[in-house]
Amino acid sequence: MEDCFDVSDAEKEDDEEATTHLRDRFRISTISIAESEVKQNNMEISQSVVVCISDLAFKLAEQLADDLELFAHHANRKTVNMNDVILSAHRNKHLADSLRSFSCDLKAKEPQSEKKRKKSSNKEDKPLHSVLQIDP
Amino acid sequence: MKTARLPRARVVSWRREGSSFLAAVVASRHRKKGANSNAVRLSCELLRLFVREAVQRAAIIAEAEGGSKIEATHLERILPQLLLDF
Repeated sequence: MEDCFDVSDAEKEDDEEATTHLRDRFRISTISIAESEVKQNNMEISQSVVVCISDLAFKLAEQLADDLELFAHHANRKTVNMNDVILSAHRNKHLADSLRSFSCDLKAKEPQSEKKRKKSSNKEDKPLHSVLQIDP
Repeated sequence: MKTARLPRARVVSWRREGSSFLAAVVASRHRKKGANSNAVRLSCELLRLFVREAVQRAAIIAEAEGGSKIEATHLERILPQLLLDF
């Protein structure tokens, strides 16, 4: 019983560690996006505001992940689709439209010669591949 | 609020955010479901639009008040509508 407790505890610690790591990475990319945005407007932004925005965006990402999982589950799929993402923004018409046009861009880039094979085989592999890149 | 189309300049930051979002999906108790790579890219786009909108709206408020630095009070002003919009 004690062992069991230890294991779950260690797992939790690992999870927390991964989450803080993710949060830091997320913050870095948010800072770079915000800085470039601010530069275009010829303004400055205080660091605390950027940190706040990045925490907000992280929360949004968590919520979004929950939503997407539910959507995919509801459609009896095992993988999350582009339509799920667009669906998650359905309350805001402008946002949904711009996401839709972005998805069209992505679709236009992808299909080359072996569209079907790519779709059937790479669906499962690609996420794992990207995860391997992140880890270090 | 209208969201403008994006210039292609910031692929690097987009990629970074993509990786962290994907890891967020995978790492935080969502191990059962995978995600289509395009879906991940699209979610990054959503998150990036969120950040852009936050900064731009705050910048509008800051400009209206005559300052050139975005402070926390400016963010506070736009926060409710921003959270309703996303």
